[in-house]
Amino acid sequence: MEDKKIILDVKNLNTSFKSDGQVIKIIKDVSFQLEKGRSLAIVGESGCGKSVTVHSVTRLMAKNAIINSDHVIYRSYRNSEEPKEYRIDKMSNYGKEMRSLRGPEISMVFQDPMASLNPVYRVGDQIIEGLLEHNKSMSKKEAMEKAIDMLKKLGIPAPEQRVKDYPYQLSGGMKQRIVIAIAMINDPELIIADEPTTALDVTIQAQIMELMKKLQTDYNKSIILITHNMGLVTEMADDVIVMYMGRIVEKGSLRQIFSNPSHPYTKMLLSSVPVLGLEQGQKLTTIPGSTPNPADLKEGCEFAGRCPFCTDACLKGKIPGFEIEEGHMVRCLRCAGHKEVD
Amino acid sequence: MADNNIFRLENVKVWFPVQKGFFKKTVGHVKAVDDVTINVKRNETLGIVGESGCGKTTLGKAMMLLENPTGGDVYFNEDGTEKDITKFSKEERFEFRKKVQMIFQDPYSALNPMKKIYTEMEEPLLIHGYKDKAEREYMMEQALKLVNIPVDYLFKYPHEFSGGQRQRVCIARAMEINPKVLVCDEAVSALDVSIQAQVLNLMKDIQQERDLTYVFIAHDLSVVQYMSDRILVMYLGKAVEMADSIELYANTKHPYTVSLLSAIPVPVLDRDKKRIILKGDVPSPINKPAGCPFHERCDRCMERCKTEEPQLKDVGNGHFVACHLYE
Amino acid sequence: MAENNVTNTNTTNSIDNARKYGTKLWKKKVRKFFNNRLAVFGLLVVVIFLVLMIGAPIFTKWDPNAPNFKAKLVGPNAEHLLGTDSLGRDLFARILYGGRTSVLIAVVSSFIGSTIGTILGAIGGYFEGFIDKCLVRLQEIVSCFPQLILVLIVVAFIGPGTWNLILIFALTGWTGCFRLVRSEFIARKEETYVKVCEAFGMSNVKIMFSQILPSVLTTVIVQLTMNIPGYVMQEAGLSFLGFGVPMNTPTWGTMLNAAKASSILINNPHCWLVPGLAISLFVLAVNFFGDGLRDVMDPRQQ
Repeated sequence: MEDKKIILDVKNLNTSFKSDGQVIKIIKDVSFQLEKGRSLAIVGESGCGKSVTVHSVTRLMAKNAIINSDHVIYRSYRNSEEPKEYRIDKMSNYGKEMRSLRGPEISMVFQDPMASLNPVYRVGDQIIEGLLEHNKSMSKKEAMEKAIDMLKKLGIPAPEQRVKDYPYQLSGGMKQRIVIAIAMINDPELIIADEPTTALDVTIQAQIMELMKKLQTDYNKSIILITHNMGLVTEMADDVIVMYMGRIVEKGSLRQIFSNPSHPYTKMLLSSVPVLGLEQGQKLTTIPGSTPNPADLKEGCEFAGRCPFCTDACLKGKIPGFEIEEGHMVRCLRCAGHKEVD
Repeated sequence: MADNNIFRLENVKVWFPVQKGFFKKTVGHVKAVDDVTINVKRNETLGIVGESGCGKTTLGKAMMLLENPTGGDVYFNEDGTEKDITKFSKEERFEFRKKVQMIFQDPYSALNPMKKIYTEMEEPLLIHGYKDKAEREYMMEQALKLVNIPVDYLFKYPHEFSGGQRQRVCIARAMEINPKVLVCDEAVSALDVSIQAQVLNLMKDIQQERDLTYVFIAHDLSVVQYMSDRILVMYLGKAVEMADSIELYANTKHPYTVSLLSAIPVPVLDRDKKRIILKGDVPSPINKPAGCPFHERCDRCMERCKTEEPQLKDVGNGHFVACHLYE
Repeated sequence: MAENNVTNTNTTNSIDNARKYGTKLWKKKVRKFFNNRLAVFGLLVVVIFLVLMIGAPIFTKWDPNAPNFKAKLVGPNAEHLLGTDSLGRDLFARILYGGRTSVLIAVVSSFIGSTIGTILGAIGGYFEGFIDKCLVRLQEIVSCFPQLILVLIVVAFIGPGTWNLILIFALTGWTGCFRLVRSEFIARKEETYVKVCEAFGMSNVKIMFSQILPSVLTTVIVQLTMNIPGYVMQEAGLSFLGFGVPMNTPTWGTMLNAAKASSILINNPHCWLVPGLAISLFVLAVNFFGDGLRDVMDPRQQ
């Protein structure tokens, strides 16, 4: 445990939203740790809270959000073996401390590259903006050189010309690469990618994913990948978290989750994805029903209403997580008997 | 053989003019669909795949008469006689609308937010002359039963539904007037994985129950392969490969289809397949490269590909490829 | 599995039964409107004004046009609730009877203008092309033409009058509504549900008026209410200058005009304060009401 370099440590993160005088819990007791140089995928369907989780960590939340946690610790291993600890949970959302973390330490890549870039500025200026913000003494010329270097690293052809382009002159894949360049320009240790390829075509998606993988392996960056695409998870991630209605239902290494999916939701989710080369006439498994409204949820397991194995016990109290193998946690009473971990 | 085709498209072109300058001079064309010849067999599902901008949606709209082809003919054969739908009169078009319906991509904007589902579903019946209210209501009920939506939902507004439910309402509305062909344009791509599986299975069931023909347009090859009997792969407005779906997967010919297949991330551990990462982006459909549209990104490009455009040719087994490698 | 797909447990089987449990969006909107205090205040004031105007003979015994030289320029008292003007006419009666004309002009011209604008905007926005270009040019010409000049021309040729004023307001006032409806139509005709209707073989006219118009209409209604205070003010302005309604017809504008002598301005403030306050109060109330209406009716805010 001690020799692992934990870069992000989240313990019992809870996020609620206030709306119309009602408080709705969106994230419930989410805990996870991310090792340096590894990539963690958070998967789930829309509304499961995967985006809200990372936005709660980076504190990019609307005013009506209430974030509570035991702790959220970010550790920077940049200069020495002795990490520098930041208690993110003690910082204010848009305070100086938090802002100094965003960019140089933690940065984000968002879903839609068309919306992430400002259409009225040249992309070069948009890349160096972050650099100049955190390095007041740097000149614009120096910054531009660094930006061109970065684009070279990301395999963008003719970077000297590209920095002078406006976003509309670039294709979708190229724009997403620019967005990644903006995220990478301050050399952050942790990159959070929120559905980075959902808006792109498959062949372009393959290019971008290749690039992200390279960042992780060649530059030893840590990556949190948020996606609903199970295929991407197998290609990118070392560790996987499966979320459903704001709770982690299963957590483990990629191999553990995919070769031994143990929560009914994970199992059904995996078998409901059409896979190439499926036999003719073979049918997909479906998960009956639709995701419930978070405001209607009562105690017990969130998945109980759609679960074929639901029992009376599933409808009561808090369902604990069980460790069925080392590092493989399943939040399901069907695994009771294993060590309770959460 | 010809009788077996419900749709036959011959050299269909859909070009959009690009106008520039003060006098709106036409300086070129966006060749969204360029010289496509295909057929759709009765009761089959023809899948059309390709990346964004490849013209698959425009092709679907041309089959629906929602887009008028710039050139070529679209033959529709419902009762044994082939008719060219591009030459239809107003009355014939109206009759044609009963036979062919479309499911659109975004279930959120496919329903008018101001109207109750009842009004939404009643409208097509009113247009097509069902005067008796009881008859209309019976038909609506049957259509809703088909998609597993209770009749209570008729008196609700679209914003009260989830995405999957809305898409099912859209399917019910299209199915009410008993069409023969359903053109599905990215019908499930806006839905979540678990809901997507529900809708796909539902569509398969409806096809069996009602003897439907599907034209299933999507960018996700795995979804298309799951749904389709035959698959057409498009690139830059051209048909590059067409084959039975199993044949296409087992015996992929065109280099574009090969790279498309390898680019799809598959949720299976230890996949031994080598990935081919395509270079560059899809060229603009205004200035298409000479020769094969794919030659700039193709790793097996020959001199010939740069000048001469390959035609779609039968390579046996009902497998059509447009590539010089297989001539 | 089929039953599981349904979150609603209320599984009735007949359509007629289901109809009773349908969503009543209307009720929700009314409730939302009444939660907005300013809007309710606006509605209340407007209603009080309308009731007073319509039932003017009940609320006042005075004839608004009968001069009473014994009681010139008296301040508010028990006999004359709001005092009298320089000819001894009761101001309260004039406010009520005059309001009839003022509000009539405003409401009717706003209504006609909005109707013209909506129809032309729908045609232009839906069909685009040549017709649209012609309509846009026409709209530009009308908006460029100074309204005051038009008023002067009409007054010069056919003399001042209530209906002339309405005519001018309607003919010049449709442009704002035209632009609004046209841009809404251009945006909305790209919506998938319009394509769906096309695929069903629905006619253009029906798509325009039964599919797109209802969602645009809410914006138009709001625009219409918001235009009313503008016309009240314009009528007052034009009548004050003497170009509006004839001086012998009481309106809020002619009342102000009658009070413009400097001695009255200084010595008898109630003469101009009363119509001025009536205009301000009414305009403010209609604006509040319109604001509340927009919050409720705008389909994008659901």
